[in-house]
Amino acid sequence: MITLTLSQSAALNAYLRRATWGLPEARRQDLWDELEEHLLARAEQLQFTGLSSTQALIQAIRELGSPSRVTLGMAKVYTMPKLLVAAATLALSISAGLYVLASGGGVLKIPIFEQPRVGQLCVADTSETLPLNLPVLPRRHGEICYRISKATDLTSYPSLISVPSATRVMQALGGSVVVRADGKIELRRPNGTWGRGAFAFDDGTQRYIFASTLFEAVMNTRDRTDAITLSGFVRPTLTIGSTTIQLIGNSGDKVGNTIYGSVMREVIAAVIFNNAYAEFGFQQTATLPRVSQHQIQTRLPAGEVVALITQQGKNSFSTDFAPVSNNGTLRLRATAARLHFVGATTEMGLDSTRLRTEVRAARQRLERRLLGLEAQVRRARRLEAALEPSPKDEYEDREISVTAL
Amino acid sequence: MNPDLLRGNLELILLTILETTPLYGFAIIQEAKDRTNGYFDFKEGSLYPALHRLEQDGLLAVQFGEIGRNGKPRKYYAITERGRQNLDSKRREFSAFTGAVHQLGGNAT
Repeated sequence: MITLTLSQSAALNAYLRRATWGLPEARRQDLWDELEEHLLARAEQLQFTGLSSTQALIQAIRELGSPSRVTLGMAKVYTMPKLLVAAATLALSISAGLYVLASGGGVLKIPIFEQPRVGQLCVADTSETLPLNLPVLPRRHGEICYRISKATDLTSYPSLISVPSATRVMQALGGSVVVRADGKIELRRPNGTWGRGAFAFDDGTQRYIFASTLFEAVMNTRDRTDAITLSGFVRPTLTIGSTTIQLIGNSGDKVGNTIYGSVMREVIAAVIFNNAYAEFGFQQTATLPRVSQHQIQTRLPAGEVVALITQQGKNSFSTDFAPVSNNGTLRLRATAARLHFVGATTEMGLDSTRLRTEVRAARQRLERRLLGLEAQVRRARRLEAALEPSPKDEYEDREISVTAL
Repeated sequence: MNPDLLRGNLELILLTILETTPLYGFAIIQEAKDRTNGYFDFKEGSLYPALHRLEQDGLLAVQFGEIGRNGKPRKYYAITERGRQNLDSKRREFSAFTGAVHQLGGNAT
């Protein structure tokens, strides 16, 4: 499988989106996959002639021709209504020359707030309301309001996103945001699934929801097939299908912590169970007793994010994650004092007979049954290549430098 | 070559290429170039609608093969029995047409 840069992926997706525009969903995905394979195959062929990967992809797109040609040809096959075909002609004639320009452009920049502004913070007064250790203002109907001053320390408070910004994100993904009468927010996706914000904040100028509520909704992998790519930590960039969203916080790692924390459920479901619907429990390793910190040396580029998934019980896990620093190191927390790493997700699975044998043997050396190290599925392959092998025996042949701090 | 000639005979060309072995889209283009020393150079964007039309008409059937470069199974097109009958018919038509053109020029075969 070929890995594309963000800008290459954006250009490819922009072309494919236009080439498959207006087709019935099943046909659209079918043609999307077919054209994508064609373009990647041709781009690979062109690279052998000396073109860079970006030049090769652009040339492959040019050779395939205008996306409107493909769309209109397909429209005739699947008998789209004539009016729709006419509309497609108009829309595509406007946009046909622009698809290559998609590389590097079209990024939706969304501000994330690390704490409410000075003023008041109002929370819907429901049974789910979190208690806040802040001065309480006179109650309003259905809400509890707190005073936020310059001296208010909310550094441990969850990141927030304003309702207008959340609306921009959902609309970019084809969905919507609905503010309900009870003050809750519903995040609706095109396929009908949605998230719900338990609280709506009001700092006197805007209403906010927890950023994690939005991230969990948009990165939910159930009922969907489009790829989700998450990269960067201080300013994380999220690409879903053809939509790219960059999240900009005030400072520090808080935004990265929020968004990577939000995607951990999907990472465990994908990496451990290979099933988006798997049911399990998980929590942050940092919240567990007797946690060891480990400093890990990798050859991953700075800013790459690595996550550690540890099995704590039959169907429960703990997770930690951290960005790679400039010198290639990162620090992760685990309940185990010593870590063993595997280079492929298949070696981490729970149900394979071969794995059970390996895990039983490995348990003799481990204080706890450690399933392994994993970032997102795509990043695992890069990690494997970056780890320095130091063959010792069957279970330690991919062990890397790990030091308990 | 004149693109109108290619467009007018696209179905005949595609069915001929797929007569002996199933192929996926990109491989069909490569095969057409290789077997004609580059004479048949498709406007690639018109290939896929043509393949889908032949599939809709029952002249081609789809089989999914090995994983491609995008991580998804490649879509192979295979000629059906109905496609073979249609190919025979189109070949006869084409042969009759080219024969008539030769006759017009005094070069009947």
